Amino acid sequence: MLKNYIILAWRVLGRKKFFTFISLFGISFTLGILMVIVSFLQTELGTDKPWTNRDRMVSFGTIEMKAMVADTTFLIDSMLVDGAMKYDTTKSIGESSNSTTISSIGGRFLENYFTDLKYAENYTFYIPGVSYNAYVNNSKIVLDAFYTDAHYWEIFDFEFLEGQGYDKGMYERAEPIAVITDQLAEKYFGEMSNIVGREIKMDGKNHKIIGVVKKPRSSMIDGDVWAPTTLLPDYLGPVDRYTGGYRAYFLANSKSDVTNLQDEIENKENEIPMDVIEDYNKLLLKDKTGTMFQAFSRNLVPFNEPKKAGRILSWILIGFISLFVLLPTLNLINLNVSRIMERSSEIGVRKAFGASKGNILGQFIFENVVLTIIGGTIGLGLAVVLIYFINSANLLEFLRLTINYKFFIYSFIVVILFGVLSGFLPAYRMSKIHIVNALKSNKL
Amino acid sequence: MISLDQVSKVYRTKTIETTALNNINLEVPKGEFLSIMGPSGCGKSTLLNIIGLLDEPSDGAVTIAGKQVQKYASKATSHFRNEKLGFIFQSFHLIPDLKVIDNVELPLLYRKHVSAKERRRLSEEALESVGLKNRMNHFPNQLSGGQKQRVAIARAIVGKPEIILADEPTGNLDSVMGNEVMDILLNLNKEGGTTIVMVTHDENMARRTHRLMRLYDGSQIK
Repeated sequence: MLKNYIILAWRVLGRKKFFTFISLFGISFTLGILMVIVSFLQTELGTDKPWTNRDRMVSFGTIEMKAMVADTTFLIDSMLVDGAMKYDTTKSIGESSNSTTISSIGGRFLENYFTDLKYAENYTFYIPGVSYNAYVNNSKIVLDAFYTDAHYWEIFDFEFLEGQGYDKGMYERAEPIAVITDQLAEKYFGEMSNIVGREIKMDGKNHKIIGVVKKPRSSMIDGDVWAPTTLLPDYLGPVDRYTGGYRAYFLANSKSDVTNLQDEIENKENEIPMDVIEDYNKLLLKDKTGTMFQAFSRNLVPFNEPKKAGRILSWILIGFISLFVLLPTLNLINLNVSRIMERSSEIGVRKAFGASKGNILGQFIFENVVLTIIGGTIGLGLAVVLIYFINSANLLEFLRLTINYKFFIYSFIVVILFGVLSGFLPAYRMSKIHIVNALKSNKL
Repeated sequence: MISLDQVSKVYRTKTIETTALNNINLEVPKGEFLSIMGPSGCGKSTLLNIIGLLDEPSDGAVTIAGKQVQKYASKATSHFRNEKLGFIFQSFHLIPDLKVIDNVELPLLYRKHVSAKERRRLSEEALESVGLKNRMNHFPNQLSGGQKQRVAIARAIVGKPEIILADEPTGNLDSVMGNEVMDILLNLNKEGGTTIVMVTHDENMARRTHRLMRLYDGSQIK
């Protein structure tokens, strides 16, 4: 029976080449594009190195301070009562801000208030994106340097090709050392092996290289070189300043503690004393990231609050993907109706010789599933080719996309499901057709 | 084998009522070859469809192979049709995407407990009996009209049904091919004892059968 169905499905597809082409194009294109999108999201959001712990990370990078002043408003209403003018006054007392400052965060501020969070098992404070010019063979290279503490190498799980990161001792002794990427090694030294032990000149000082990491695939920490913060003069900044150039990453005790950690950080905003700071009396931490998805969402939807942004973006994505899958499904249903209608006398014959409604339904759905499976396979091929092209043409700079096979399996299940769905409606209609009428449409 | 008791078929639309069959009483004993004749639109095909359980009478009782048919659109009726009845149509109704052998195999697909090997064997046997075994890997469009109808006969007999219902089986064929097909049917009836009911326009063909029933305007002419 099954073999018979497969043979028939194959022949029917071959006979209606145009229909087959349109259907296959719809299915494979949809699936191919979806795979590329997911691959992109996964590379940006996934837990590939160095983001192994991303699902437990919480971070913030901006501080906003306001000067709030008491604000009293009087409202005076006038009205005519019995021909005489009466007055009604309302007084409301509120707050308004009359000046605001937004900046990156100060190192000392972080050291003072954020080293003992209950829900964080580890933390790193670092200064991202300091640019230096380096010269190799008279050509200029711009270095993107990150100054970090030693915890940085515990929180971010970089892939070391050679050597290792610096430990607490090296950090505290402010040793002139650095970790660089394989990419920079090639640019700077012209090769990628035996780099550890050599020196790189940054800010006029030589740094001994103690580790080489693979350039991270993610655009969120795309530095070239890392060195201890202690190498910078007065790296923590003055006591009476909360602002500076830092960003903070915290590692929650567990995945389920991420929300608790977010709340704990939010509560800190109100506890931190503001009397040491001149001019301002209210503090807000901004540029927060929650889960990786929330973090990503903040870049795409205009909501600064990560939880809300995450929620909104997931609805947008679900809607978008449903629409993306719905369109070819509707298209396929439509094509199937006309395709199956043409075969009504075949259905008549089958029923006359004893096929039940279920047999007919099964046959047509099966044909459709065969079609969608072929389309799905082409779609995978398309995704592989597209991703290869995107990677080799360097379209996304340092992003390296990979195929997510787990997603492929999921989307294949979805494809089969929509094969069944798009086949079911027309097949059901045809399976109910009266045998005599089906035989009359004499197309065989 | 076939018994129709006071069978009527009336087609009703909102404005008009058409009587296709009017109080038909029919007894076909086992092993009989009955032909039904009459002008176009007299209800021949409707009668055949009712005997074949493809259509439901408006009134009256139908008993086939000792079983009175109650529900037409049921799985049980499908099985019954599959086991007891074979159909031959004027326009062959072969499935163009299937090879001859696969077309012949079709009724066996809907029969339980028949292995693929057994299906193949029975189909080849049926094709052999209509003299087309050498064409089993051809597609229908590679055959002549007579050959197509012989394939259709093979399909009708592959499941060894007790009754064969043929709706103008020679209607689309020239006299030579028509006679060939008729010979096969007669042989089936004579050798295999298959009960056959055939609708035809052809007086000569009808004369070769055991009994002729004439219909006019839905009524039987005595």
